[in-house]
Amino acid sequence: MRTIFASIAISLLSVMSLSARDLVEECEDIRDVNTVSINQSMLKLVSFPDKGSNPIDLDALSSRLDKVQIINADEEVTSAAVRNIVKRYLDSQPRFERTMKMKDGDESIQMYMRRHSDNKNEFVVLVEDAPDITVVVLIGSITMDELANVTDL
Amino acid sequence: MKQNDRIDILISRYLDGTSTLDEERALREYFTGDSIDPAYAGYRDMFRAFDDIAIPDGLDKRLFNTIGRLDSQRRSDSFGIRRFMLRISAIAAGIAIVLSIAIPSASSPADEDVLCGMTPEEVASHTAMALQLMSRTISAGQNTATRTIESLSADNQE
Repeated sequence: MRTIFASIAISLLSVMSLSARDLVEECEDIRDVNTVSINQSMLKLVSFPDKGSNPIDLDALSSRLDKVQIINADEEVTSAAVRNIVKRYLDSQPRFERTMKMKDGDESIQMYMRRHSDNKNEFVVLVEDAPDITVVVLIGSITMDELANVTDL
Repeated sequence: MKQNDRIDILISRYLDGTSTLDEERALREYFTGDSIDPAYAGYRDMFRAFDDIAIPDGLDKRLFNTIGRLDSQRRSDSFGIRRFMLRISAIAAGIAIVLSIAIPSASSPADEDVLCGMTPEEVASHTAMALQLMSRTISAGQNTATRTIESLSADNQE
């Protein structure tokens, strides 16, 4: 009986830890916080107009994206809540590396990156211009060079 | 220290992003209680909205250690403990595999809900905005680094 109980408890803990909430799920319950979450299934249904100015094929790039998330708040209290959630998320996930931190006047920008076990990259950009805060998350088989080459859309 | 002074300090640390988990827990306990100062009414809904559902750190390890300790009191030989752990691991792995397959397939969205209320144009627009922000951030960082290096080189040559 003890064996069965222990087995069920450990297996449930394993499954629950795999289904941890992502940033949008953590933030979407906060009032006055705007969130957008786009997954791979949605991205397969869209196509980008060909403006001819981009050196890379945006339809091909978006097909390699697994997830696009945008979080935005424009009040001091809600922005602080979002900032704390993002900070805890970055601290709790292994191998996140801050690739960039800039301050330009009142605006500060931080960029983080980590490689997942399946060799996909996760990029998190945090833009703060008090009281506004914007967080963008991209996950997929994309590199920083490919992102840098995306020109105006 | 008066309680309101303490709450002021905790809220200030929270807004600055320097609060510890214990301090945030204290704020949550205060704002889910019955005696909240009317001056803090604006913060009440926010702190009450937070729902900590995270699995406590180390719970699985503590559970495993407790099971191991209880069983070692009944069995004295190490071979018996190893056999017990192997049996648990095998059963747990089997159940976890079954649950991992069953849970995602049970929650798969229907085809008509895949856009979650957004039009394809809105999805494209948001994706484009996200890509653009990433690109500009990287470019701005590269440009700043280049300008800094050029400035330092010019200073060295003078």
